[in-house]
Amino acid sequence: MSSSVEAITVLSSDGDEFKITVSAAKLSKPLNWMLEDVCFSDDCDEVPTIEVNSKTLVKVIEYCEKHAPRANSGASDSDAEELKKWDIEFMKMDVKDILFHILMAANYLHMEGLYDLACQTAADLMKGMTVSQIRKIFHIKNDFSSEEQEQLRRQHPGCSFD
Amino acid sequence: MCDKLSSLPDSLLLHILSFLPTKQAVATSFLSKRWRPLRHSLPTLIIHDAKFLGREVFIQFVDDVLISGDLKFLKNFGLNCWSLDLPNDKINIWIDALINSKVEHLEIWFPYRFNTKLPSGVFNCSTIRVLKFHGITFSSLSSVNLPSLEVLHLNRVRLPDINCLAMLLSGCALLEMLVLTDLDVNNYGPTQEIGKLNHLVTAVVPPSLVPLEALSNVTFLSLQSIWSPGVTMHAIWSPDADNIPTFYNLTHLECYVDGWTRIVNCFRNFPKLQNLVIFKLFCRFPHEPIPNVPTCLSSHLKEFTFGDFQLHEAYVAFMKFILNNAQVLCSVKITSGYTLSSEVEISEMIKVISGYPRASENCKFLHDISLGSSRKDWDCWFRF
Repeated sequence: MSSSVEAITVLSSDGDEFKITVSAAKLSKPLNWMLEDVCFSDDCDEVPTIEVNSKTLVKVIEYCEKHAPRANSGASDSDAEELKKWDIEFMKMDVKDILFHILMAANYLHMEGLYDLACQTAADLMKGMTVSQIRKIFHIKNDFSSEEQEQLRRQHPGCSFD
Repeated sequence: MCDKLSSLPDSLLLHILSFLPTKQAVATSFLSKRWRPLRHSLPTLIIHDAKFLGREVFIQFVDDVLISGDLKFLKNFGLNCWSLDLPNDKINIWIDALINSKVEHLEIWFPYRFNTKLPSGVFNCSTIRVLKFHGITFSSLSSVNLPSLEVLHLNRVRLPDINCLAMLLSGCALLEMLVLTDLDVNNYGPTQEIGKLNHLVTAVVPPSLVPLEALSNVTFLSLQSIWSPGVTMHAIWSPDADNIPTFYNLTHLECYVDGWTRIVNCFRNFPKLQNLVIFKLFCRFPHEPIPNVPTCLSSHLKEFTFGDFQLHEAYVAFMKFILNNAQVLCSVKITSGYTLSSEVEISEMIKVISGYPRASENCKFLHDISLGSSRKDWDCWFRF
Protein backbone atom coordinates (compact mmCIF):
# COMPACT_ATOMS: atom_id res chain seq x y z
CA MET A 1 0.00 0.00 0.00
CA SER A 2 1.36 3.38 -0.84
CA SER A 3 1.89 5.57 2.16
CA SER A 4 0.22 8.54 0.44
CA VAL A 5 -3.25 6.98 0.77
CA GLU A 6 -5.05 8.59 3.65
CA ALA A 7 -8.47 7.03 3.33
CA ILE A 8 -9.80 3.79 1.90
CA THR A 9 -13.15 2.77 0.52
CA VAL A 10 -15.02 -0.25 1.82
CA LEU A 11 -18.39 -1.80 1.00
CA SER A 12 -21.01 -2.63 3.60
CA SER A 13 -22.93 -5.90 3.43
CA ASP A 14 -25.74 -3.87 1.82
CA GLY A 15 -23.36 -2.84 -0.95
CA ASP A 16 -22.99 0.82 0.04
CA GLU A 17 -19.59 2.51 -0.21
CA PHE A 18 -17.97 4.08 2.84
CA LYS A 19 -14.75 6.00 3.31
CA ILE A 20 -12.59 5.41 6.35
CA THR A 21 -9.24 7.00 7.09
CA VAL A 22 -6.26 4.67 7.29
CA SER A 23 -5.49 5.62 10.88
CA ALA A 24 -9.08 4.85 11.91
CA ALA A 25 -9.12 1.54 10.03
CA LYS A 26 -6.07 0.48 12.04
CA LEU A 27 -8.27 0.14 15.12
CA SER A 28 -9.59 -3.09 13.63
CA LYS A 29 -7.21 -6.00 13.26
CA PRO A 30 -8.90 -7.49 10.15
CA LEU A 31 -9.01 -4.06 8.48
CA ASN A 32 -5.38 -3.55 9.36
CA TRP A 33 -4.50 -6.87 7.72
CA MET A 34 -6.51 -5.81 4.69
CA LEU A 35 -4.51 -2.59 4.51
CA GLU A 36 -1.33 -4.59 4.41
CA ASP A 37 -2.57 -7.14 1.87
CA VAL A 38 -4.80 -5.30 -0.56
CA CYS A 39 -3.81 -2.63 -2.98
CA PHE A 40 -5.61 0.57 -2.10
CA SER A 41 -4.05 2.92 -4.62
CA ASP A 42 -6.28 4.98 -6.92
CA ASP A 43 -5.91 2.74 -9.94
CA CYS A 44 -6.92 -0.35 -7.99
CA ASP A 45 -10.60 -1.13 -8.38
CA GLU A 46 -10.93 -3.84 -5.78
CA VAL A 47 -13.15 -2.57 -2.97
CA PRO A 48 -13.28 -4.89 0.05
CA THR A 49 -16.61 -5.80 1.57
CA ILE A 50 -17.13 -5.73 5.30
CA GLU A 51 -19.85 -8.04 6.56
CA VAL A 52 -21.57 -5.31 8.53
CA ASN A 53 -24.76 -3.55 7.41
CA SER A 54 -24.70 0.12 6.39
CA LYS A 55 -26.49 1.47 9.42
CA THR A 56 -24.00 -0.23 11.77
CA LEU A 57 -20.96 0.54 9.65
CA VAL A 58 -21.72 4.26 9.85
CA LYS A 59 -21.58 3.98 13.63
CA VAL A 60 -18.46 1.81 13.65
CA ILE A 61 -16.62 4.26 11.37
CA GLU A 62 -17.77 7.19 13.52
CA TYR A 63 -16.29 5.40 16.57
CA CYS A 64 -13.02 4.63 14.78
CA GLU A 65 -12.54 8.18 13.52
CA LYS A 66 -13.14 9.57 17.00
CA HIS A 67 -10.81 7.14 18.73
CA ALA A 68 -8.04 6.96 16.11
CA PRO A 69 -6.07 10.08 17.16
CA ARG A 70 -5.84 8.87 20.73
CA ALA A 71 -5.06 5.27 19.83
CA ASN A 72 -2.23 6.39 17.57
CA SER A 73 -0.58 8.97 19.77
CA GLY A 74 -1.72 8.38 23.33
CA ALA A 75 -3.70 11.00 25.17
CA SER A 76 -3.73 13.16 28.23
CA ASP A 77 -6.11 12.51 31.11
CA SER A 78 -8.42 15.31 30.04
CA ASP A 79 -8.64 13.81 26.52
CA ALA A 80 -9.47 10.44 28.03
CA GLU A 81 -12.17 12.05 30.15
CA GLU A 82 -13.64 13.80 27.11
CA LEU A 83 -13.57 10.56 25.14
CA LYS A 84 -15.37 8.72 27.94
CA LYS A 85 -18.19 11.27 27.81
CA TRP A 86 -18.31 10.95 24.05
CA ASP A 87 -18.56 7.13 24.36
CA ILE A 88 -21.56 7.43 26.67
CA GLU A 89 -23.35 9.74 24.20
CA PHE A 90 -22.34 7.47 21.33
CA MET A 91 -23.90 4.44 23.00
CA LYS A 92 -27.26 6.09 23.55
CA MET A 93 -28.94 4.12 20.80
CA ASP A 94 -31.89 1.93 20.07
CA VAL A 95 -31.08 -1.07 22.21
CA LYS A 96 -32.90 -3.89 20.55
CA ASP A 97 -31.82 -2.98 17.08
CA ILE A 98 -28.42 -1.35 16.65
CA LEU A 99 -26.68 -2.39 19.90
CA PHE A 100 -26.90 -6.02 18.86
CA HIS A 101 -25.30 -5.19 15.49
CA ILE A 102 -22.57 -3.12 17.14
CA LEU A 103 -21.77 -6.07 19.41
CA MET A 104 -21.52 -8.37 16.40
CA ALA A 105 -19.46 -5.87 14.40
CA ALA A 106 -17.01 -5.16 17.23
CA ASN A 107 -16.56 -8.90 17.69
CA TYR A 108 -16.11 -9.54 13.96
CA LEU A 109 -13.77 -6.57 13.46
CA HIS A 110 -11.70 -7.38 16.58
CA MET A 111 -12.15 -3.90 18.00
CA GLU A 112 -11.34 -4.25 21.65
CA GLY A 113 -12.43 -0.79 22.79
CA LEU A 114 -15.80 -0.87 21.01
CA TYR A 115 -16.34 -4.49 22.08
CA ASP A 116 -15.88 -3.58 25.75
CA LEU A 117 -17.99 -0.47 25.37
CA ALA A 118 -20.88 -2.34 23.70
CA CYS A 119 -20.75 -5.21 26.22
CA GLN A 120 -20.67 -2.72 29.08
CA THR A 121 -23.69 -0.95 27.56
CA ALA A 122 -25.61 -4.22 27.30
CA ALA A 123 -24.68 -5.08 30.89
CA ASP A 124 -25.76 -1.63 32.09
CA LEU A 125 -29.19 -2.29 30.62
CA MET A 126 -29.42 -5.47 32.72
CA LYS A 127 -27.96 -4.02 35.91
CA GLY A 128 -30.44 -3.93 38.77
CA MET A 129 -33.17 -5.53 36.65
CA THR A 130 -35.05 -8.65 37.63
CA VAL A 131 -34.98 -11.74 35.43
CA SER A 132 -38.39 -10.96 33.98
CA GLN A 133 -37.43 -7.32 33.33
CA ILE A 134 -34.34 -8.44 31.41
CA ARG A 135 -36.48 -10.83 29.36
CA LYS A 136 -38.74 -7.93 28.47
CA ILE A 137 -35.90 -5.54 27.49
CA PHE A 138 -34.21 -8.03 25.16
CA HIS A 139 -37.31 -10.01 24.13
CA ILE A 140 -35.90 -13.19 25.62
CA LYS A 141 -38.50 -15.96 25.64
CA ASN A 142 -38.82 -17.93 28.84
CA ASP A 143 -38.69 -21.46 27.44
CA PHE A 144 -38.67 -23.35 30.75
CA SER A 145 -41.76 -25.46 31.33
CA SER A 146 -43.57 -24.85 34.59
CA GLU A 147 -42.18 -28.17 35.92
CA GLU A 148 -38.66 -27.09 35.02
CA GLN A 149 -39.16 -23.74 36.71
CA GLU A 150 -40.41 -25.47 39.81
CA GLN A 151 -37.33 -27.70 39.80
CA LEU A 152 -34.98 -24.71 39.35
CA ARG A 153 -36.67 -22.98 42.26
CA ARG A 154 -36.05 -26.01 44.44
CA GLN A 155 -32.42 -26.32 43.31
CA HIS A 156 -31.61 -22.64 43.81
CA PRO A 157 -33.57 -21.47 46.80
CA GLY A 158 -31.42 -18.38 47.17
CA CYS A 159 -32.24 -17.03 43.73
CA SER A 160 -35.06 -14.99 42.36
CA PHE A 161 -36.69 -15.92 39.06
CA ASP A 162 -39.05 -13.05 38.62
CA MET B 1 -39.38 -8.41 17.81
CA CYS B 2 -37.06 -11.40 18.03
CA ASP B 3 -34.46 -12.17 20.67
CA LYS B 4 -31.22 -11.25 18.95
CA LEU B 5 -29.11 -11.13 22.09
CA SER B 6 -29.48 -14.86 22.77
CA SER B 7 -28.17 -15.66 19.29
CA LEU B 8 -24.76 -14.15 20.12
CA PRO B 9 -21.86 -16.53 20.73
CA ASP B 10 -21.08 -17.68 24.29
CA SER B 11 -17.86 -15.69 24.44
CA LEU B 12 -19.75 -12.47 23.75
CA LEU B 13 -22.52 -13.17 26.26
CA LEU B 14 -19.92 -14.06 28.89
CA HIS B 15 -18.13 -10.79 28.24
CA ILE B 16 -21.41 -8.94 28.82
CA LEU B 17 -21.92 -10.89 32.05
CA SER B 18 -18.40 -9.94 33.17
CA PHE B 19 -19.64 -6.35 33.58
CA LEU B 20 -22.42 -7.43 35.94
CA PRO B 21 -22.19 -8.03 39.67
CA THR B 22 -21.80 -11.79 40.30
CA LYS B 23 -25.19 -12.21 41.90
CA GLN B 24 -26.89 -10.85 38.82
CA ALA B 25 -24.64 -12.63 36.35
CA VAL B 26 -25.58 -15.92 38.01
CA ALA B 27 -29.26 -14.95 37.95
CA THR B 28 -29.21 -14.61 34.14
CA SER B 29 -29.04 -18.41 34.02
CA PHE B 30 -32.79 -18.33 34.76
CA LEU B 31 -33.59 -16.22 31.69
CA SER B 32 -33.94 -19.15 29.31
CA LYS B 33 -32.37 -22.49 28.36
CA ARG B 34 -29.87 -20.65 26.15
CA TRP B 35 -28.55 -18.76 29.19
CA ARG B 36 -28.75 -21.65 31.63
CA PRO B 37 -25.24 -23.15 31.19
CA LEU B 38 -23.35 -19.84 31.02
CA ARG B 39 -23.09 -19.52 34.80
CA HIS B 40 -20.66 -22.42 34.82
CA SER B 41 -18.31 -20.59 32.48
CA LEU B 42 -18.04 -17.36 34.45
CA PRO B 43 -14.33 -16.76 35.02
CA THR B 44 -14.88 -14.36 37.92
CA LEU B 45 -17.13 -14.64 40.96
CA ILE B 46 -17.11 -11.83 43.51
CA ILE B 47 -19.58 -12.34 46.33
CA HIS B 48 -20.44 -9.88 49.09
CA ASP B 49 -22.74 -10.94 51.91
CA ALA B 50 -24.27 -7.47 52.19
CA LYS B 51 -25.96 -8.03 48.82
CA PHE B 52 -28.07 -10.86 50.28
CA LEU B 53 -31.07 -10.67 52.51
CA GLY B 54 -30.11 -12.89 55.38
CA ARG B 55 -27.53 -15.43 56.27
CA GLU B 56 -29.32 -18.54 54.96
CA VAL B 57 -29.91 -17.02 51.54
CA PHE B 58 -26.26 -16.03 51.34
CA ILE B 59 -24.99 -19.48 52.37
CA GLN B 60 -27.35 -21.16 49.90
CA PHE B 61 -26.12 -18.92 47.11
CA VAL B 62 -22.41 -19.60 47.76
CA ASP B 63 -23.10 -23.32 48.22
CA ASP B 64 -25.02 -23.30 44.97
CA VAL B 65 -22.21 -21.59 43.08
CA LEU B 66 -19.23 -23.37 44.63
CA ILE B 67 -20.45 -26.81 45.66
CA SER B 68 -23.19 -27.67 43.17
CA GLY B 69 -21.54 -25.68 40.42
CA ASP B 70 -18.94 -26.57 37.87
CA LEU B 71 -15.82 -24.49 38.54
CA LYS B 72 -13.84 -25.57 35.50
CA PHE B 73 -13.59 -22.04 34.10
CA LEU B 74 -13.28 -20.19 37.38
CA LYS B 75 -10.13 -18.10 37.61
CA ASN B 76 -10.92 -15.31 40.07
CA PHE B 77 -12.87 -15.58 43.29
CA GLY B 78 -13.60 -12.96 45.91
CA LEU B 79 -15.61 -13.47 49.09
CA ASN B 80 -16.47 -10.60 51.38
CA CYS B 81 -18.25 -11.53 54.60
CA TRP B 82 -18.65 -8.08 56.01
CA SER B 83 -21.41 -8.72 58.47
CA LEU B 84 -22.08 -12.43 58.77
CA ASP B 85 -20.18 -14.59 61.20
CA LEU B 86 -20.09 -17.88 59.30
CA PRO B 87 -19.20 -21.29 60.72
CA ASN B 88 -15.58 -22.07 60.02
CA ASP B 89 -16.34 -25.52 58.58
CA LYS B 90 -18.57 -23.92 55.95
CA ILE B 91 -15.76 -21.61 54.91
CA ASN B 92 -13.36 -24.55 54.79
CA ILE B 93 -15.65 -26.45 52.43
CA TRP B 94 -15.88 -23.43 50.12
CA ILE B 95 -12.14 -22.81 50.13
CA ASP B 96 -11.41 -26.49 49.49
CA ALA B 97 -13.75 -26.40 46.49
CA LEU B 98 -11.89 -23.36 45.18
CA ILE B 99 -8.49 -24.93 45.67
CA ASN B 100 -9.61 -28.04 43.79
CA SER B 101 -11.00 -25.88 41.01
CA LYS B 102 -7.55 -24.49 40.24
CA VAL B 103 -8.48 -20.90 40.96
CA GLU B 104 -5.74 -18.34 40.21
CA HIS B 105 -6.83 -15.24 42.09
CA LEU B 106 -8.37 -15.51 45.54
CA GLU B 107 -9.48 -12.66 47.81
CA ILE B 108 -11.11 -13.38 51.15
CA TRP B 109 -12.31 -10.50 53.27
CA PHE B 110 -13.55 -11.02 56.83
CA PRO B 111 -13.99 -8.50 59.62
CA TYR B 112 -11.11 -8.74 62.03
CA ARG B 113 -13.32 -9.67 64.98
CA PHE B 114 -14.48 -13.05 63.69
CA ASN B 115 -11.26 -15.08 64.04
CA THR B 116 -11.88 -16.89 60.78
CA LYS B 117 -9.38 -19.63 60.02
CA LEU B 118 -8.52 -21.10 56.63
CA PRO B 119 -7.87 -24.71 55.64
CA SER B 120 -4.22 -25.60 55.05
CA GLY B 121 -4.97 -26.46 51.41
CA VAL B 122 -4.90 -22.80 50.56
CA PHE B 123 -1.18 -22.74 51.33
CA ASN B 124 -0.49 -25.72 49.13
CA CYS B 125 -1.99 -24.83 45.81
CA SER B 126 -0.08 -24.94 42.57
CA THR B 127 -2.37 -22.66 40.53
CA ILE B 128 -2.82 -19.63 42.78
CA ARG B 129 -1.12 -16.49 41.46
CA VAL B 130 -2.78 -13.85 43.65
CA LEU B 131 -3.76 -14.32 47.29
CA LYS B 132 -5.31 -11.55 49.39
CA PHE B 133 -6.66 -12.00 52.90
CA HIS B 134 -8.23 -9.56 55.31
CA GLY B 135 -9.25 -10.38 58.87
CA ILE B 136 -8.09 -14.00 58.83
CA THR B 137 -6.41 -15.80 61.71
CA PHE B 138 -3.60 -18.14 60.77
CA SER B 139 -2.90 -21.20 62.81
CA SER B 140 0.65 -22.50 62.65
CA LEU B 141 1.46 -23.80 59.19
CA SER B 142 2.79 -27.29 58.63
CA SER B 143 3.75 -26.89 54.98
CA VAL B 144 3.62 -24.18 52.34
CA ASN B 145 3.94 -24.70 48.62
CA LEU B 146 2.68 -21.87 46.43
CA PRO B 147 4.89 -22.24 43.35
CA SER B 148 2.82 -19.87 41.14
CA LEU B 149 2.16 -17.17 43.70
CA GLU B 150 3.04 -13.69 42.41
CA VAL B 151 1.05 -11.45 44.77
CA LEU B 152 0.55 -11.97 48.51
CA HIS B 153 -1.43 -9.39 50.44
CA LEU B 154 -2.23 -9.87 54.12
CA ASN B 155 -4.19 -7.12 55.80
CA ARG B 156 -5.26 -7.32 59.47
CA VAL B 157 -4.21 -10.93 59.54
CA ARG B 158 -3.35 -12.51 62.86
CA LEU B 159 -0.28 -14.73 62.93
CA PRO B 160 0.61 -17.01 65.85
CA ASP B 161 4.29 -16.09 65.61
CA ILE B 162 6.92 -14.73 63.32
CA ASN B 163 8.06 -18.20 62.20
CA CYS B 164 4.69 -18.62 60.55
CA LEU B 165 5.47 -15.71 58.22
CA ALA B 166 8.94 -17.03 57.46
CA MET B 167 7.45 -20.40 56.64
CA LEU B 168 4.87 -18.81 54.37
CA LEU B 169 7.42 -16.75 52.44
CA SER B 170 9.79 -19.68 52.05
CA GLY B 171 7.09 -21.42 50.03
CA CYS B 172 6.59 -18.58 47.54
CA ALA B 173 9.62 -18.69 45.27
CA LEU B 174 8.14 -16.58 42.45
CA LEU B 175 6.62 -13.84 44.59
CA GLU B 176 6.64 -10.41 42.89
CA MET B 177 4.53 -8.35 45.27
CA LEU B 178 4.39 -8.69 49.04
CA VAL B 179 2.00 -6.52 51.04
CA LEU B 180 1.78 -6.98 54.80
CA THR B 181 -0.31 -4.27 56.39
CA ASP B 182 -1.68 -4.03 59.91
CA LEU B 183 -0.55 -7.51 60.84
CA ASP B 184 -1.11 -8.79 64.32
CA VAL B 185 1.72 -11.06 65.37
CA ASN B 186 1.07 -12.73 68.70
CA ASN B 187 4.59 -13.76 69.39
CA TYR B 188 6.90 -11.08 68.17
CA GLY B 189 10.37 -12.56 68.18
CA PRO B 190 13.52 -12.04 66.15
CA THR B 191 13.01 -12.38 62.40
CA GLN B 192 13.67 -15.77 60.95
CA GLU B 193 16.17 -16.35 58.20
CA ILE B 194 14.54 -16.69 54.81
CA GLY B 195 16.24 -16.76 51.44
CA LYS B 196 16.21 -13.75 49.14
CA LEU B 197 12.94 -13.43 47.22
CA ASN B 198 14.59 -13.17 43.83
CA HIS B 199 11.50 -12.12 41.87
CA LEU B 200 10.18 -9.59 44.34
CA VAL B 201 9.55 -6.13 42.83
CA THR B 202 7.22 -4.47 45.34
CA ALA B 203 7.28 -4.82 49.11
CA VAL B 204 4.98 -3.06 51.54
CA VAL B 205 5.93 -4.43 54.93
CA PRO B 206 6.64 -3.44 58.52
CA PRO B 207 10.41 -2.98 58.76
CA SER B 208 11.16 -5.53 61.43
CA LEU B 209 8.96 -8.38 60.24
CA VAL B 210 10.80 -9.58 57.15
CA PRO B 211 14.60 -9.64 56.95
CA LEU B 212 15.81 -6.95 54.53
CA GLU B 213 18.03 -9.50 52.77
CA ALA B 214 14.89 -11.26 51.58
CA LEU B 215 13.57 -8.00 50.09
CA SER B 216 16.73 -6.71 48.50
CA ASN B 217 15.60 -7.27 44.90
CA VAL B 218 12.69 -4.80 45.05
CA THR B 219 12.26 -1.54 43.14
CA PHE B 220 9.49 -0.29 45.47
CA LEU B 221 9.82 -0.53 49.24
CA SER B 222 7.30 0.85 51.68
CA LEU B 223 8.03 0.27 55.34
CA GLN B 224 4.63 0.49 56.98
CA SER B 225 3.47 0.74 60.54
CA ILE B 226 2.22 -2.22 62.52
CA TRP B 227 -1.29 -2.17 63.85
CA SER B 228 -0.90 -4.42 66.86
CA PRO B 229 -1.04 -2.52 70.15
CA GLY B 230 2.24 -2.01 71.92
CA VAL B 231 4.48 -2.55 68.93
CA THR B 232 4.05 0.79 67.14
CA MET B 233 7.73 1.52 67.61
CA HIS B 234 8.59 -1.42 65.35
CA ALA B 235 7.46 0.72 62.45
CA ILE B 236 10.27 3.22 62.91
CA TRP B 237 13.31 2.48 60.90
CA SER B 238 16.79 3.32 62.07
CA PRO B 239 18.95 1.08 59.94
CA ASP B 240 22.67 0.80 60.22
CA ALA B 241 24.28 1.22 56.80
CA ASP B 242 26.84 -1.47 57.49
CA ASN B 243 24.21 -4.06 58.32
CA ILE B 244 21.77 -3.70 55.49
CA PRO B 245 22.11 -5.23 52.03
CA THR B 246 22.50 -3.19 48.87
CA PHE B 247 19.19 -2.69 47.07
CA TYR B 248 20.48 -2.48 43.52
CA ASN B 249 17.04 -1.98 41.94
CA LEU B 250 15.36 0.23 44.53
CA THR B 251 13.91 3.43 43.05
CA HIS B 252 11.14 4.20 45.54
CA LEU B 253 11.49 4.14 49.33
CA GLU B 254 8.95 5.21 51.94
CA CYS B 255 9.40 4.86 55.69
CA TYR B 256 9.19 6.24 59.21
CA VAL B 257 12.68 7.29 60.16
CA ASP B 258 14.52 7.74 63.41
CA GLY B 259 17.56 9.94 63.00
CA TRP B 260 17.80 11.49 59.51
CA THR B 261 21.57 11.32 59.32
CA ARG B 262 21.36 7.59 59.79
CA ILE B 263 19.07 7.15 56.81
CA VAL B 264 21.22 9.45 54.67
CA ASN B 265 24.20 7.24 55.42
CA CYS B 266 22.15 4.28 54.22
CA PHE B 267 21.55 5.89 50.84
CA ARG B 268 24.76 4.37 49.53
CA ASN B 269 22.95 1.03 49.79
CA PHE B 270 20.21 2.34 47.44
CA PRO B 271 22.26 3.40 44.41
CA LYS B 272 19.24 4.02 42.15
CA LEU B 273 16.91 5.76 44.58
CA GLN B 274 14.74 8.38 42.82
CA ASN B 275 11.76 8.84 45.05
CA LEU B 276 11.94 9.19 48.83
CA VAL B 277 8.91 9.46 51.09
CA ILE B 278 9.39 10.08 54.80
CA PHE B 279 6.11 9.35 56.58
CA LYS B 280 7.36 10.90 59.77
CA LEU B 281 10.69 11.81 61.29
CA PHE B 282 11.59 10.81 64.82
CA CYS B 283 14.58 12.35 66.51
CA ARG B 284 15.58 9.98 69.28
CA PHE B 285 18.66 8.72 67.54
CA PRO B 286 21.78 10.85 67.98
CA HIS B 287 23.19 12.60 64.91
CA GLU B 288 25.86 10.75 63.03
CA PRO B 289 28.49 12.38 60.89
CA ILE B 290 27.85 12.06 57.13
CA PRO B 291 31.26 11.25 55.64
CA ASN B 292 30.18 11.44 51.97
CA VAL B 293 27.09 12.62 50.17
CA PRO B 294 25.73 9.41 48.59
CA THR B 295 25.73 9.45 44.77
CA CYS B 296 22.08 8.49 44.50
CA LEU B 297 21.15 11.61 46.42
CA SER B 298 23.26 13.95 44.32
CA SER B 299 22.46 12.48 40.92
CA HIS B 300 19.26 10.35 41.04
CA LEU B 301 16.82 11.67 43.63
CA LYS B 302 13.91 13.34 41.80
CA GLU B 303 11.08 13.43 44.30
CA PHE B 304 11.16 14.03 48.01
CA THR B 305 8.05 13.85 50.19
CA PHE B 306 8.24 14.85 53.83
CA GLY B 307 5.27 13.81 55.96
CA ASP B 308 4.31 15.80 59.03
CA PHE B 309 6.89 18.44 58.20
CA GLN B 310 7.55 21.10 60.84
CA LEU B 311 9.90 24.03 61.02
CA HIS B 312 11.87 22.41 63.81
CA GLU B 313 15.58 21.83 63.98
CA ALA B 314 15.95 18.24 62.73
CA TYR B 315 13.27 18.56 60.05
CA VAL B 316 14.81 21.73 58.71
CA ALA B 317 18.32 20.26 58.80
CA PHE B 318 17.16 17.19 56.83
CA MET B 319 15.28 19.34 54.31
CA LYS B 320 18.26 21.66 53.85
CA PHE B 321 20.60 18.74 53.38
CA ILE B 322 18.42 17.25 50.64
CA LEU B 323 17.96 20.58 48.86
CA ASN B 324 21.65 21.39 49.08
CA ASN B 325 22.77 18.11 47.56
CA ALA B 326 20.07 16.73 45.26
CA GLN B 327 21.05 18.11 41.88
CA VAL B 328 18.20 16.63 39.81
CA LEU B 329 15.41 17.10 42.33
CA CYS B 330 12.11 17.92 40.56
CA SER B 331 9.61 18.11 43.37
CA VAL B 332 9.43 18.51 47.12
CA LYS B 333 6.13 17.75 48.79
CA ILE B 334 5.25 18.30 52.41
CA THR B 335 2.21 16.96 54.19
CA SER B 336 0.46 18.17 57.27
CA GLY B 337 -0.38 14.60 58.33
CA TYR B 338 -0.19 14.12 62.04
CA THR B 339 0.03 17.63 63.38
CA LEU B 340 -2.75 18.85 61.06
CA SER B 341 -1.23 22.20 60.23
CA SER B 342 -3.60 24.59 58.54
CA GLU B 343 -3.45 25.45 54.84
CA VAL B 344 -1.99 28.85 55.75
CA GLU B 345 0.73 27.30 57.90
CA ILE B 346 1.59 24.85 55.12
CA SER B 347 1.90 27.57 52.52
CA GLU B 348 4.03 29.58 54.94
CA MET B 349 6.29 26.55 55.38
CA ILE B 350 6.48 26.03 51.63
CA LYS B 351 7.49 29.68 51.24
CA VAL B 352 10.25 29.22 53.82
CA ILE B 353 11.71 25.99 52.44
CA SER B 354 11.58 27.19 48.85
CA GLY B 355 13.90 29.97 49.98
CA TYR B 356 16.59 27.55 51.20
CA PRO B 357 19.67 27.25 49.01
CA ARG B 358 19.35 24.34 46.61
CA ALA B 359 21.35 22.42 44.05
CA SER B 360 18.52 21.83 41.59
CA GLU B 361 17.16 24.87 39.78
CA ASN B 362 13.95 23.33 38.51
CA CYS B 363 12.27 22.17 41.65
CA LYS B 364 8.59 22.50 42.52
CA PHE B 365 7.33 22.80 46.09
CA LEU B 366 3.90 21.34 46.79
CA HIS B 367 1.48 20.52 49.55
CA ASP B 368 0.79 16.79 49.36
CA ILE B 369 -2.54 16.06 50.96
CA SER B 370 -2.43 12.31 50.39
CA LEU B 371 0.20 11.87 53.13
CA GLY B 372 3.18 10.07 51.80
CA SER B 373 2.48 7.02 49.76
CA SER B 374 2.20 8.38 46.30
CA ARG B 375 1.64 4.99 44.76
CA LYS B 376 -1.26 2.98 46.08
CA ASP B 377 -1.64 0.42 43.32
CA TRP B 378 -0.53 -2.25 45.77
CA ASP B 379 -3.69 -1.64 47.75
CA CYS B 380 -6.40 -2.58 45.28
CA TRP B 381 -8.97 -5.24 46.03
CA PHE B 382 -11.89 -6.57 44.07
CA ARG B 383 -14.76 -4.15 44.05
CA PHE B 384 -17.05 -6.14 46.29
